[in-house]
Amino acid sequence: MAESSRLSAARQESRPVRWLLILAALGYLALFLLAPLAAVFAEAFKQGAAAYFKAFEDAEAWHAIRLSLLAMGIAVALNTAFGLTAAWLLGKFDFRGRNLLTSLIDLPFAVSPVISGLIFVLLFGAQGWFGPWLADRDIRLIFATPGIVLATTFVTFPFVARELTPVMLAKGCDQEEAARMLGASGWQTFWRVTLPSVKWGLLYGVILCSARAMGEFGAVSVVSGHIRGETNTLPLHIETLYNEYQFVAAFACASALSLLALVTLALKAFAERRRDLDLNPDLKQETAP
Amino acid sequence: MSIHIDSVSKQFGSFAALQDVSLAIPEGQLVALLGPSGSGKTTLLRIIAGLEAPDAGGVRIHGDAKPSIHARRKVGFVFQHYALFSHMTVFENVAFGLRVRPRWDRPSKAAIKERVQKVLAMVHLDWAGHRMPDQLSGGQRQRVALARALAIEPEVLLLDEPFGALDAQVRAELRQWLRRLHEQTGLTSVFVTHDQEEAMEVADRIVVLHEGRIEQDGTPQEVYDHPATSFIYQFIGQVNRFRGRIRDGHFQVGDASVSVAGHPHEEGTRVEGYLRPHDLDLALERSPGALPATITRIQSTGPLARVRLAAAHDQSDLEAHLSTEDLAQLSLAVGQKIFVKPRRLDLFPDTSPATAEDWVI
Repeated sequence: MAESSRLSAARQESRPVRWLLILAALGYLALFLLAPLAAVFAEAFKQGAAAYFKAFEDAEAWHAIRLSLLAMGIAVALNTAFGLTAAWLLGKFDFRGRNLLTSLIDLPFAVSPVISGLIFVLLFGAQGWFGPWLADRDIRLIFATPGIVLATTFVTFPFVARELTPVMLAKGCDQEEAARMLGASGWQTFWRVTLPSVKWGLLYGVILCSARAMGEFGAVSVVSGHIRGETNTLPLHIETLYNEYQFVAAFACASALSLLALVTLALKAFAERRRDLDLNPDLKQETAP
Repeated sequence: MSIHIDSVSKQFGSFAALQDVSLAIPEGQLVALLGPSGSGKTTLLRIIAGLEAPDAGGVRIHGDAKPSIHARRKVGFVFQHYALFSHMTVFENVAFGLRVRPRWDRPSKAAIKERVQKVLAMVHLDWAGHRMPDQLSGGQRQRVALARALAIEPEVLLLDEPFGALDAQVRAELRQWLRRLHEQTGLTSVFVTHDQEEAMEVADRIVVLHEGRIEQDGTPQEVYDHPATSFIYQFIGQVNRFRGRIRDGHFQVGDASVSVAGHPHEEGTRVEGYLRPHDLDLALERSPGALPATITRIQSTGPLARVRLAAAHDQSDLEAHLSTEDLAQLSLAVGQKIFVKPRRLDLFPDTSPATAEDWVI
């Protein structure tokens, strides 16, 4: 009793102060989040819905969307496989070089995306380390789709592993040991016990990874070469259109990207909630008799 | 199946969890591994289960040096915190061990269903098959864990502090139930506990572990009545301790000289005498071997009266248990000065650092 009344007393601010704080927070959100979002849609529909949809009749726009989806698909698939493996290792085993692996996973976060792009140009570009070797075999990575996929994969590398490792750690090894005592093989244990127990954490990581892969600009911009209809991803295509004063088309494409972001956000909120429920079942209603 | 543990040692970093432990458990016995935390009891159980590899020595189940996959499956393990598969229903949890068998060995769907229903009925949870584990109470979850271990028809059942996380009443119920289950199935069972009462109540045999070694191995009666070391005296049951010295072959404590038959201690060494509260007699008159003490508290609920006293020579706490009739006959009162006389006493070397008082005689 005393405890709770003291707590609520600590929370009692005078009415004007409370309103001021709430207004400040909402104003900040409106200025930096809602206003830009509204501006994107306003600009996109400035010349009416017809002009808006006309932007998507452009073959280059569709190519950019397809390329973005392709890069995202490959990057997310690779990083999911890697992230799952890394999180499983970090979460369930104690081994030498554990800390090194953790630091390596974080590396793409620490490096600016533009620098990451440049690293690939320096490695695989015409003047790069492996450039002549690749040129001899007629393999083109830089200024081509593989380079874009590579850059996207690198930048989005940490998301799944970072999201999943704490979930694996929190789950501990009890259930795996139980499965082993019941005669399950390592493979059976992973597919039937480990993976289902972290599925919401995994989905959350995959969603974050997809969102980032879709919107990646810096690294991709360096390796793409901005060839229209060939190596322009959606964010790059928007930049090109904007630089050419095609504002309606640029904002129409931007609105498509924003819509994707909003859908991702909704999915993320859902996955996040399920993941937290998984980690802490007591949040659920007590139903035990 | 019988279990043979041959000179097993296990080190965790610089901490020696087990040091040269050997133990043979014949088929059908229910054994308690009893000890305080850090005594190595859980490590020993995990080594028997094969969840931990010993640094030296080995474990044989039914005499097989290397249990095959098949033999491995004959060991059921129950974890302290249940370790139920949280994303599966109770039914699926129990069925798991049958479903993961290789196809040639896997029972049919109908047979799995029948088997699961049967073990769920054994633990009185046949109504809970469709529940998720987090919809059950702690005691129910532990019973699911037991059912899951029993579903694979093990020949050895290992339980790691199975009732440790439950409240007292549920714990008492499950103890009784485990004992009955053991009598029904005749499974060779080993359970780890730090609760001496639990070990006494459930087990055929108690193995007391302390600092990675077996201190005593015997029936509950033997361990309680004839503790092998001073540690066990203090760890199991209530105990009175007198600190003194061997003088003229007798145990000299305060100004009393107690004769103890057949002790191996040398003249002049410092020893500790241990005895249970029911082995401490109370008397109004002084007699040879009796020590003066003052009554500090009398508690006489039920048939047994507990009298707490302070020894006159060093003010140490003592406790005597006697029947309420004897108490009435003596008509004792708090603050009264009387005499205590050990009826039987076990002597162990006193390893505590000597104090100035030890030299004043």
